Amino acid sequence: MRALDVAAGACLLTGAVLALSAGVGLVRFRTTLERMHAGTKPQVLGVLLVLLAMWLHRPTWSDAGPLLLVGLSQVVTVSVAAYMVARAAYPRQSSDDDTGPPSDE
Amino acid sequence: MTTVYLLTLALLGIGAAASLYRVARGPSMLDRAVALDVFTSLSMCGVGAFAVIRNDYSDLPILLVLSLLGFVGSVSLARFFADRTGNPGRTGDSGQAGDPGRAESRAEEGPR
Repeated sequence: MRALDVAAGACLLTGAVLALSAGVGLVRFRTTLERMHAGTKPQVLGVLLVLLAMWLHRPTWSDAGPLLLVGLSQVVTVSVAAYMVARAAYPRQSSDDDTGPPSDE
Repeated sequence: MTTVYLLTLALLGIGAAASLYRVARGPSMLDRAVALDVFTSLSMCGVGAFAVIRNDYSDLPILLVLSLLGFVGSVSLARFFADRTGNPGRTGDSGQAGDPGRAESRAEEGPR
């Protein structure tokens, strides 16, 4: 039980660090697509790690069901929402990129 | 263990402050949609961390509701601001009040 508590604390801390990296990327990146790239992947991994920490803290089957449901719905819905936002954000950003003369590339 | 819990809550608070800064400063409405999605996920992390800290797992339905709420909010914002592709931020912010009326009038103009 002690080792499980240590693992739960490590997962909780890693999830919080990933969530912080998502927030920092949201502030530091410049365009919408870059911000979306920062805001989806570390965020989902952070939520999954926090859910894993919750299960490691109390490893019973009756808690594993809702936790699995939450993790699965998070993975599915965040990918779909990111697809919708990217489809809305890509035309304006690409038209913004194409107006200028070709740069160093 | 208390140090780990406090550090976790501090990191989550800093991340939430960063995403709220992006919500306030975002140039376009899609940035705000992304930032609100991240903020919802951060509050999910906070609810989970508090459930671990208090050893009370009666908050599990809140996690499910928050997940679906973030999905619906982000998708609806993306659908609502999908058709304004002509002015990528040059004519000012596209997310001010009065936009629903303009969107409806544009939708009514479409079939003519």
